[in-house]
Amino acid sequence: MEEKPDLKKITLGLVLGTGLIAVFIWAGWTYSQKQGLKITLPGGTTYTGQQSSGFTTDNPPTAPQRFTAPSDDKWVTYQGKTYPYSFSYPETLSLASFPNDPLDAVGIAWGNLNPQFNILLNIENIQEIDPQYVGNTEAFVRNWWRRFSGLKDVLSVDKFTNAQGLKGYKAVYVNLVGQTPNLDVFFEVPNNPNLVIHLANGILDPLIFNRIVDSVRWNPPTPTPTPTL
Amino acid sequence: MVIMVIILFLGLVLRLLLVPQPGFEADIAYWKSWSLAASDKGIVWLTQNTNYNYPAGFALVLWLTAKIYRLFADPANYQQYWQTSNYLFLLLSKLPSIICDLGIAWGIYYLLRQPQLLGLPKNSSRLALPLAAAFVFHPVVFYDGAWWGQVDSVGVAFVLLVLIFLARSQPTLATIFIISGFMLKLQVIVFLPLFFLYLWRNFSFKTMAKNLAVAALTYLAWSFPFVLKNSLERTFYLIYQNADWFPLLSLRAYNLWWLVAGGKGMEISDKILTLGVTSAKTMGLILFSSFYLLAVGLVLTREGPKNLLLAFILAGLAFFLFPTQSHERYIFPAFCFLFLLLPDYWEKPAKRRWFLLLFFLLSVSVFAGLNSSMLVNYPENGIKVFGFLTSKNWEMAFSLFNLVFFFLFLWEVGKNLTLFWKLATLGILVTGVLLTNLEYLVKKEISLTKLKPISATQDYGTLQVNRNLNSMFGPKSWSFLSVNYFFYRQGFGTHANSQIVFDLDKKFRRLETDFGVDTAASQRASVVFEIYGDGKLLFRSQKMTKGDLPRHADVSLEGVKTLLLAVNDAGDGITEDHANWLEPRIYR
Repeated sequence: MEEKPDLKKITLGLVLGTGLIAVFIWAGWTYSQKQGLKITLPGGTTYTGQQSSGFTTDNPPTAPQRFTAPSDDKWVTYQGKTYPYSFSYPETLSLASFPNDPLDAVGIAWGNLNPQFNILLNIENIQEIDPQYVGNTEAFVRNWWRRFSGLKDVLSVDKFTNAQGLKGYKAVYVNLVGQTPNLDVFFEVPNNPNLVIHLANGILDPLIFNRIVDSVRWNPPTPTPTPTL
Repeated sequence: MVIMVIILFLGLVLRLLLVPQPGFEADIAYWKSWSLAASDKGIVWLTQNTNYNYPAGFALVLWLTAKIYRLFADPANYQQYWQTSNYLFLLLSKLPSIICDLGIAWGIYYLLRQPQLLGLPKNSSRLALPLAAAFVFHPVVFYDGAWWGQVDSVGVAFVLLVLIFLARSQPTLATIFIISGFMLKLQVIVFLPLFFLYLWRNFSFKTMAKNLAVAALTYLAWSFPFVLKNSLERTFYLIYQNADWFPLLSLRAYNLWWLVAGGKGMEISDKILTLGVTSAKTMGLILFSSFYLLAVGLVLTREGPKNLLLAFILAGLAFFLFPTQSHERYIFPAFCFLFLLLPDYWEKPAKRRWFLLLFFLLSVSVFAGLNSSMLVNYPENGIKVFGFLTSKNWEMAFSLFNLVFFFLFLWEVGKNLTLFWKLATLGILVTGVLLTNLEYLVKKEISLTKLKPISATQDYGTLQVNRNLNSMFGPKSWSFLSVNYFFYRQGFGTHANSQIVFDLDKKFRRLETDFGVDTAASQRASVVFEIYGDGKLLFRSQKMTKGDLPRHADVSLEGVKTLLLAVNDAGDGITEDHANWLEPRIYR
């Protein structure tokens, strides 16, 4: 004879199980709230929606014009997804990467700014942009502004070497109304005259930006033999 | 039964604990983008305006995900929605695979409890609980779904239901589920021919024909948003667009091509030449087709769902190991189905030991493949303690082992096959290689258009083969290649600045080609044609303009591995620079 199911036990099990699941979901949610701020956007032809009024609700209503960080803020390392570059940045600065991005760009997702329009670092391929400047990064930097309709000239280009030994150029470009609001930094990539690492200060406090610039490294991978069948 | 419920519950708890893992961030970011697009703009719009490359049915799941998300949070809140630690989205997007993981465990339990259904040994039922538990808590299983965020288990769950319904002689339900699985996870396509052949062999031709109609109706049901918008053709496009989505040897799948590429499968085009002029992609398809024929033989030789299960495993393993462009996760379905084979080997201690050892090694290999892929792409999201397994030596060892496992499995199931099937497999392999090399072997010269470029870039439009550039606008615009009204049947229609690169692998000694500005270009066209071998300039034309007659080039290719056909704008901009390479022929 088949045993009758014990409804009390089943009910108790269901209630207990549901309660435990709720606890685990709550625990997971709490844990995720404590994770660092990091935004990842899809690459290629995608859709990121239209921004609603809620777009800025998570940001301080009195967000300053420039991002700054407390002196005791922890600095963490960002590693390039495609290219072997890395740099340090304050943990409270929210960065966004773009999967499958050929430029391996990093955007700043801070305030109510769209990271796609606020790029901190990207890799530029001189061979693809203008092959005449391959091997002559300084000339590339001096003429970089010509590709942008919002810029009309270059004010200065200064050579420098950062704390990691990378050779680079600090450039100030003049926009159409004669202002020079930004500092652009270009690093030569060791043993690869086709590439430059480009950084722009954007909304970053100069102290923060300079420290980021000083931390930029290039860590080339170990070469492996070519395949045969 | 109570113990099984407890196992499932614990499996659920484990997975809920893993939900906050950001997983493979690109996949999750695409789920977010596509679900938002489906919800905001509609499913058809999503497939027409984004890089969505999943089957039509999965778009419905994403649409539902965004709709549920909206009940609790605003997806337009940019900072919240796109955070990698967005718990609500992670939970909703991982829920299908979590449910399917548990569903598969239940399916294993169900089939082993009633071993007569699949034709498993009678005492399999005592292994039902241990194997279901082993599945639930297997690292490969919970890593793929709850950790990574992928939905491979959704396809597997549907195929397992197919096996259950076939074993219960319910082919119509089986058809509905296999098509549903296919509409949610494209990789299920591998099992479709075997399924319909099984219906023919085990039921009747009429049953197969009837169920093909059921399949068509199921397909239409999943495609109803497209039917309503008169865009059904888009659902077909979503299937075939994947044929060359990632044109690389291996997408971190530890398989034949990862081994061949020495661990650089993500960096090498699958259009490189292998035997003769057979590209790696074609060779992969020939190998896969050959082994697939053995799976067909398994289904047609003997009746019973057990043979279909073996055929699914064989086809699944071959699909992972031999075609190029295979992902690390493509082994997942075959891996899951292997759980059902353990009872066959349990009673004989020697065989049991071998099976367990091989299955353990395969588990390590598959897990290492998943985790290494995660570590390479998102170092902070993988399990770092196993980082040493990403070394080249380990990767080569895993690739080799996976191939060995396949051939051992083939040896085992091959006992059920007659000589005919083995010879037929060999025949397809040899015929495939010979046919793709026929012109090369007989005539010692071939048209360069028979080779697929390993890369092709141009500053306007897309490369056209045996048609002029304007043909890119669709069949109504198709037109022959021509220069000043001299027409050609073969060649490349391109646009400055253009670079078309071929792998010749030092197999040819000479190239002959005509070239010129296309008749359809305007008077402003002006280009220079260049031919490079391994980066060295072999030929440069004079400046060519509209109205010039076609010119001819004849260059030596001795020792050339990589051939580049380049067209530049002659220094005056690319306006109207429609350029043609005409009747390009390469000689052995």
